[in-house]
Amino acid sequence: MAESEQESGDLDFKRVIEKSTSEVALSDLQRKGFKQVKVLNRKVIFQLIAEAVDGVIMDRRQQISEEERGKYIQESKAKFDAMAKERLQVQQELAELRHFKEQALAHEQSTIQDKKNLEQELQQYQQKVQQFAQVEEELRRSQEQIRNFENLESELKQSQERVQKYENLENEVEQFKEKAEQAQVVEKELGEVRTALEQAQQAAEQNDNKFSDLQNEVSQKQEEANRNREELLVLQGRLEASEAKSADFSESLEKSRTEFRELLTKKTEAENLLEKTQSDLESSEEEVEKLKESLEEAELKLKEQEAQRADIGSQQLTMALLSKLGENSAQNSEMSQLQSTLEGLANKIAMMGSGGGGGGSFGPAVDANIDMERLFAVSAEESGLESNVSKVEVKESKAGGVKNTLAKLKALQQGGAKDGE
Amino acid sequence: MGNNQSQSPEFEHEAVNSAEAPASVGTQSGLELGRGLDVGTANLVSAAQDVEGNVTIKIQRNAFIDIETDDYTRNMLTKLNVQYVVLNGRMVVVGDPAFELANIFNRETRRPMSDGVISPNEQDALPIEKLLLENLLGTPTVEGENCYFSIPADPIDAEFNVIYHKGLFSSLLKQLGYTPKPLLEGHAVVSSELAEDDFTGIGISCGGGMFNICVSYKSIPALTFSTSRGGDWIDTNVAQVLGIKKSRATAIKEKGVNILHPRNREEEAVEIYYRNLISYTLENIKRRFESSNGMPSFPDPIEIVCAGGTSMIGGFIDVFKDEFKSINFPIEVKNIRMAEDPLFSVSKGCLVAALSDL
Repeated sequence: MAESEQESGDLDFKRVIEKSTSEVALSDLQRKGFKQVKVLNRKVIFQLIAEAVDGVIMDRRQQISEEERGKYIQESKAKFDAMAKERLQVQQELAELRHFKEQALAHEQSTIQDKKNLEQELQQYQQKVQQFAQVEEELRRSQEQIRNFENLESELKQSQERVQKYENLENEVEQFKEKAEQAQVVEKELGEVRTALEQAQQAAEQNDNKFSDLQNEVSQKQEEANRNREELLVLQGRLEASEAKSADFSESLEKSRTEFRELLTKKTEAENLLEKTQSDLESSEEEVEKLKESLEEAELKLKEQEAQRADIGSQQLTMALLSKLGENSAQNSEMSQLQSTLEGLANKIAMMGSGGGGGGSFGPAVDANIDMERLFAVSAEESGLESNVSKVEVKESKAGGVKNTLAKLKALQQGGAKDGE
Repeated sequence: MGNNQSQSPEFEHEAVNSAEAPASVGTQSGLELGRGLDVGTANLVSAAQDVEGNVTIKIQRNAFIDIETDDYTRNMLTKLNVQYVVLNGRMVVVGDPAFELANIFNRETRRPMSDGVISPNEQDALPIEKLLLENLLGTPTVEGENCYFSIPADPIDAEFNVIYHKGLFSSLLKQLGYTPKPLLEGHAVVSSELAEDDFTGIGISCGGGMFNICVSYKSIPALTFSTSRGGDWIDTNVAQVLGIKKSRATAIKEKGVNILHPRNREEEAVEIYYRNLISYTLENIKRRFESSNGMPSFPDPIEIVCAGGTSMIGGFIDVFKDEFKSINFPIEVKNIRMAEDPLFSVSKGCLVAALSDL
């Protein structure tokens, strides 16, 4: 039904015309010699066709019955209703479309507005971000400045510490200089003490010799006195015998008594001389005692200043002193006590030297309390060793020489390093 | 060596010191008078100088191990150039071969010394030490020739002294015909290594039993002490954590480990204990310096030199410097370095002392 309606409409005419005509390009027509063409309007063609159809229908209307006519009218009405309904629907759809279009347009406008708003907000946000970045940059710069300040503060602190350290070092250097001066003074004093000690030793030697001479003299006198005493006893015996026998012997007795008195006087003088000698000896011993105390003090000072050399130097000095004192005063008990005291001092100095904490490194070779040789000899004897150790050569290797080191050490020992020696 | 025994010491010295003596003061044995001896827990090292100034070093590992005694073994050991001693009916292999045998048979070596001094637990130590020293030093060129031998300083972290040890080795050297002269181990390091600094600085001998420290000013020791941990302490702990023998731990340590770059679990254990040992030692040194009244004030920054077998492991000085940075050391230090011959440094220092004493 719809197809037949379309065939009777404008489209059918159009299609018929298009099917029965052909398109020719103007250039082709010109080439064929057509200079002018007559153009027929499409509306006119449609009008002519419609008039032709109306004429046909008018001819047919006269031929159809009333019933058929009613039928056509009815069909036309139905068709009109359908077309009207369809048109109405189309119009409604168009209206709806328009409405949708308006709504879409409004929505689009709203979206555009929103977009504009958003763009504005975005722009504001970007501005804010930019501002924030600037703030951050400033903050970073501030932090960097703070760090720089902190570093500067730290450096300042370190500089202050260094200054303090340098000041301390300067103080220490000053103290060291003072100590060195004191050490020189002490060393000088020690030299003087040593000199005095040597003089005292010489004096002691002289006193010892003198004492020895006096002792010899006293013993000679004592022997003489003893002889005299014996003679006196003989004389007394004779006197007693003579008294009994004869008064003539009284004179000789008196003479003998006088001689006896003289001998007693000589004995008293000899005893006084002995006492004086002993007194001199005691004063010498006191002097030696004082010198010993001075030596101990000097040794203590020396130990503080020259702890490292205390082991060898003090030990050698003390041992030399001991040997000299030992030779010169072996007979005297007080000298023996002095010797034992000095030995104790020497041992103490040696112990200080062998231990850690400021001591020197050269200690006594063997501790006096350990009989190592006996201990080791026992071990060796008991073991009964059989060995091939002596038959097997130990591997040897060469090491860097020590000539330069040795030369420098010797130069230092002689009072100052000399380069190249 | 030993061909001048019939001459008296006086005669020998006369010959040496006379104007008619050769330009290089020497002896018929070709050696200068004076010997150096490093009596170490791990190694015994002797040093002597010939007339041309060459220094000859002899070294023996201070260890032994007892094995079954039979004629076959005895012959084989002699053929293999392995030193042995038959002691109280037992065969004892001494020196480096003892260490190698211990590793092969997975046993522990026996040690004549522990913690830097003669071991109280080894009754066989004395005759073995005598044999080892006899083999190292030989007889003296002249009777009473000076032999400077190293002794440890008194420890600051343990309760013992070195009097017995010193006396014992003095006696032993006397029996060999030498005049024994003890020298502190740290001082020996200073004597051999710090000549360029006028013998001023700090010498540290990193030994098997102890670390010995000497602060010296112009060759005079201002402060000397020791700490009672050394290479053996590392071996003991590594052996414990890895469940192996101490000798095996020693072998791992000595086979070329670099403690800066440990390559496996065993080397990591070595690295951990080395770092701990160095840190412990530095802390003790610092504490001792801070508590000492006799510490000198050095006018210039000083040098620290490390010597001894324990310092020979790869990366030691770098780790030492690392740990040094982490403590506030009370003395200004310009450089920390290894000794020229770390294993021979102490014996060379003793040799220098012996030669300068003539």
